[in-house]
Amino acid sequence: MKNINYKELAFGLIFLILPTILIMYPLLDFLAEYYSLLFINKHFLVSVFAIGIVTAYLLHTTKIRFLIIFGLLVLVINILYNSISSVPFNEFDAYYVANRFKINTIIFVFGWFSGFAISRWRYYLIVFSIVLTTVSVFLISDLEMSNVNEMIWLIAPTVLFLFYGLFVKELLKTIKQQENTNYIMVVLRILLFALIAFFLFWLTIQLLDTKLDHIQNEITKSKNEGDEDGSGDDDKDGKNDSEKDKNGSSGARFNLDDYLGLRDRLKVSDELLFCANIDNFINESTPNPQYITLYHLNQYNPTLEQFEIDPDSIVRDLFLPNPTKIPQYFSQQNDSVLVYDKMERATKQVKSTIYIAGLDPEVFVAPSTAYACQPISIEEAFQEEYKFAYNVYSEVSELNSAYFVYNTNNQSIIDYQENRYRTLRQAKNYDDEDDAFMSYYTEIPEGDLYNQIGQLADSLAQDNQTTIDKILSIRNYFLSEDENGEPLYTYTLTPGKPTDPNIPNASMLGEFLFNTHEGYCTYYATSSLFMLRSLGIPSRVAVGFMTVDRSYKTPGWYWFYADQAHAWTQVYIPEYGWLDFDMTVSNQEAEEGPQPDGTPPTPPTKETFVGKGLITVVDTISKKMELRVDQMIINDIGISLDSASIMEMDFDVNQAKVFAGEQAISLQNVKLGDTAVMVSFDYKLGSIRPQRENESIENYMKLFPDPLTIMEVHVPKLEEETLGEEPKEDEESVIETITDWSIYILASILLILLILMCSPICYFWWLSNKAKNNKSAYVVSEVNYKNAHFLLNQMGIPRGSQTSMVYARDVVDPKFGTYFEAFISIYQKLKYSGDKPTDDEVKFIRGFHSDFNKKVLSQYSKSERILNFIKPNKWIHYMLNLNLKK
Amino acid sequence: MNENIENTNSDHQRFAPPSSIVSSPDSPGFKIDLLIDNIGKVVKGHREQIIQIVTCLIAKGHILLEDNPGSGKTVMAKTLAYSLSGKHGHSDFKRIQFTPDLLPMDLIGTHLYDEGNKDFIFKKGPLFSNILLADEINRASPKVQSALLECMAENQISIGDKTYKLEDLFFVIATQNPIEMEGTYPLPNAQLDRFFMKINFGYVTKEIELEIYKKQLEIQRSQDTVEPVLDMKDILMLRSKAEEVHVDDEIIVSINNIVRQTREHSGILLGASVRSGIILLKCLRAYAVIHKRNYVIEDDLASLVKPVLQHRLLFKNLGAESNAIQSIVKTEIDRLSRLNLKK
Repeated sequence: MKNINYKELAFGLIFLILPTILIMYPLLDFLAEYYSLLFINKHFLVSVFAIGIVTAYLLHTTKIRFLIIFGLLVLVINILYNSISSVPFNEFDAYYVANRFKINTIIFVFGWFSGFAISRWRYYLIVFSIVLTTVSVFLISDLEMSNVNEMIWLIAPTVLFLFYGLFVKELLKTIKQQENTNYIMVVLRILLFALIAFFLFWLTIQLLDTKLDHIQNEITKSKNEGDEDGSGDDDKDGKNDSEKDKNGSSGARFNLDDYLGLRDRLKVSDELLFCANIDNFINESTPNPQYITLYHLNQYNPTLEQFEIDPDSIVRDLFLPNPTKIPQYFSQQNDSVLVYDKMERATKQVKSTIYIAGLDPEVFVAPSTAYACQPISIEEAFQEEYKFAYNVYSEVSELNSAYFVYNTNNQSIIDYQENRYRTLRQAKNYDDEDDAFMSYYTEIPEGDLYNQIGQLADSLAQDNQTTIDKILSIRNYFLSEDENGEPLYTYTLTPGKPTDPNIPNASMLGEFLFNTHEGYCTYYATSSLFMLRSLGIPSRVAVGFMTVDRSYKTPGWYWFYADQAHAWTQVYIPEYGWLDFDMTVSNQEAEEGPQPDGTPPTPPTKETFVGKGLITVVDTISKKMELRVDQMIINDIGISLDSASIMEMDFDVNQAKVFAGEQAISLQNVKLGDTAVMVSFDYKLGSIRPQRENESIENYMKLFPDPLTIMEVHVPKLEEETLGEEPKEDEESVIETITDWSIYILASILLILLILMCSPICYFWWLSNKAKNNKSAYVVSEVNYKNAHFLLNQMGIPRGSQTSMVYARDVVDPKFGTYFEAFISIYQKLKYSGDKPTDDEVKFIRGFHSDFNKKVLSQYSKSERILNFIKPNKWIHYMLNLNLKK
Repeated sequence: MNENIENTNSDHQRFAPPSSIVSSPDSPGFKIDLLIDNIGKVVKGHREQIIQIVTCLIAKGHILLEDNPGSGKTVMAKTLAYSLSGKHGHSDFKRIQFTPDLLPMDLIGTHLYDEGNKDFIFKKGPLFSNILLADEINRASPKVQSALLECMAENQISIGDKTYKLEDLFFVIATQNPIEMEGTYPLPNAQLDRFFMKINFGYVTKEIELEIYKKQLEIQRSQDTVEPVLDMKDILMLRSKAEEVHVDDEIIVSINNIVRQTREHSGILLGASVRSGIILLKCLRAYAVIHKRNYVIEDDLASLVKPVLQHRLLFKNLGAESNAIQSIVKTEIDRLSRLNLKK
């Protein structure tokens, strides 16, 4: 208890204990999260640890026995625990209180033990860091954290701490042996060391950056591989193969390329891609389905017999937003499509709601002509089935309908058909149309085949004057029967390659029209397109989804499966715009009602408040967020705030679900500075109206509760990072990569440790080499002198405060039988006498090195030598043998 | 440990330290060993102190022994005196027991009336000797003390208008009792300064004490029959030799550092004077000669700073004396041991 050096104590507290507490901070945080110790505040945990470690350090530095105090501690804890369990709580509380006490006790005892060990045990910090690193690696692999940088920054502090701790501990030891230490110098040294260590680590990470990127890619790749199922089909048709893969990839990228051209076979799947509610009815009970258009095909490649999307199309009536990029509940609108669609008469606004299931949500699907898109929330019960939803507003012609070829018994549909033919017969002809427009949409490739098609069309339509009648005649041709009463044209997914051996490069289109009469939708669309165009009717092919009205229980709701992907012809009628005329005959082979349709998703509760802005604060503990709101929708009224009136708003996100794109994520993954959309369905907010007209926004907002309770938070889709919320089948591969990762991190830690451990040996080798090769007797004796001191230091007999001579005479020579004293006398002579060494002495100096090393090392077994050499703290201590005094 | 040396006997033939570092038996340094060994035969277990005393002897200084009665101070002084041969066989050894009623003239001597010559003649006191043991110096009155110290400093005595030179080899071994007693006059610092060293004997180790008891008769006999092993001329020769000892600049820097640090050290009230530094330098030279070297090394510094400086300093805490000096010395030794060789 005597002579407590308070400065030393304070020094230890500040530079050893405080960093230890700090290093425990993130770890305890992670542990708390991992074990969902939500009822324990992490600050509290850390302070428990801090109290333990500080008390123990203070007590044990003052040379109090460990066992006695520890025994007392255990006794006190035991008594406390017993008294807690005996206090009559209700059952629930008792469980939690007892558990909480247990956890706190464990942390406290760990802190206590650490405090004791740091003050007493030289090697404890190594053990401590190893334990910490192991726990971190374990946590990382379990938390499924796949962001490499995040992992590094979780592990880096522990590794840094290892070096820092060793350094400071040795420094403390040095201080203890000295008197009158200059503490300012010591502190500067520590700071310098910490800085250098940090810089080195940072440099390593920077150097590893490319490697890290590679690893990151590996992780992402392995996740994607998990998505893909069985792609080992050895189909020679490479394109089909790859497309099949794409189609198979859980619909993430549904591909319609097959519909662009004429193929010998078409592969389809029956996966649900999306469902839609199209609010378009002929009368109250009869829905009028509309085809879902993805894109228009205006250009045709006759050699490949394939359509291409013309990027420079003169008509830009296709609205192509990326729904995932639109903030929730805010809409994106393009009014120019309404000009290009040329609809002037008999139009109406149709609102559709699209629920995306298997389709990539970035692909916008809508009835033509869509002009606005508004992403909306999905009711919780349907969130598993559908990943994204949006409202679409389209301008639809009253004359447009999916019904064209199909026979139906529904009288209202028959009436509707008749009515629209009648109206269309009144339509203007194309005389007033722009020449460029007409020639663009009536263009036919040159060639015999197309002349033949023209002749066929002419023969079919020769008696008809109006456009609609011409269209009908072509339709009727496809629906007509042959001499045997069989349908002339049949639908098949496998039309096969042209069979005529005389024509090697026979056209599949010609084969279809003039020989087999078998094909799928693209064949019908292509044939009718050229027939229409040869008749001078502007037309194009649209690709999208055929809408089939199957669900009679829920009129207006349509389900779209992968096999409903479709291509058809659209015809331009003056004043009425582009109308769908699908010439494809019905699929006789297809089973009726191939899939039972599901229940339509309940529309979500009406959103009452939507706010969009930059995230400024995310508090994951109290589940609060703060946003700099620039746009709001309150009760359907959009409010845009200019830069002057941008408002800081607090939100309570306790009950909120957080979505990044269509993925549900945890609040912790929300990044500051991102734009977030906060949605509330609270009906109470709906009743809050501005008290006066033209009331200022500030005053209006004061009527709302603060913080506002939010049900949904939408943040932008996370780009590089893939989050823990992965489909279950991926987990294994992810964990595998993370395990690989942990191995990599551990390996690099080991490498650093190895370098640290090897440096003494390297230094030793360097000295030996110098001793052997240098000519100057002075240099050799200098090296011998250092070599001997270093070797003995590593072997655990440091010189300490003795003089070299005494050390050599009393310690080294008796122990090893070396001539160290003789060497030291010669060394001192060289150092202080100014005399030159005699030849004998030079000879002795030269021979001394190997003799000394041999004799010293022979006293240790091989394992002892290695063990002594790799102990990093001895090396640090040797190098630290610095003058720290004033 | 002996085994180890035997094991490496084969190496011994091939590799051994050069003989040049072992001095020849004729060299004066070797004779010092004889002297030290000779004293060591009688005064067991105090080799370090013997060397320190001999160092003072060669450095032309005087020494103050501080220890409890019965620790062998007197025997030490006597044996040293008898080991040196002079004109009368042994060197001239005198012993004065200092008491409160001692007068300066008891030391210096008095003028006596010579009946025959009808004149006063000077009757030389004990100071006119080669080796003087001033026992319990702190019990005498300050007057006596200062008389002694003046002689030590001047190496001569002035009485009236006459100056009497003391012997060439005049070496005072003063002892004092550390226990505070009534009727003692502690030496003032200024006077302590004149002693080159103040050393403590301390108790011998258990083994040596046991040996002393066992071989008591033998030791007693050798004490009575101490043979002179060194001529006083040899001592004078060694003294001149010491003046030729080379002191490296770095050692001088270290001496300076040490002396200066005693003035700055927080635990020391009164630091060392310049004279202390000079005395330290003299002692280092003598010490090097004793160790058969003509240059001073850091080890010399390590062994001498404490005995030379300790009694010249005033410490804040009594317990911290040795700590303060040790830490200062350690710093300097560290500095020196890390110096690179000058090429």
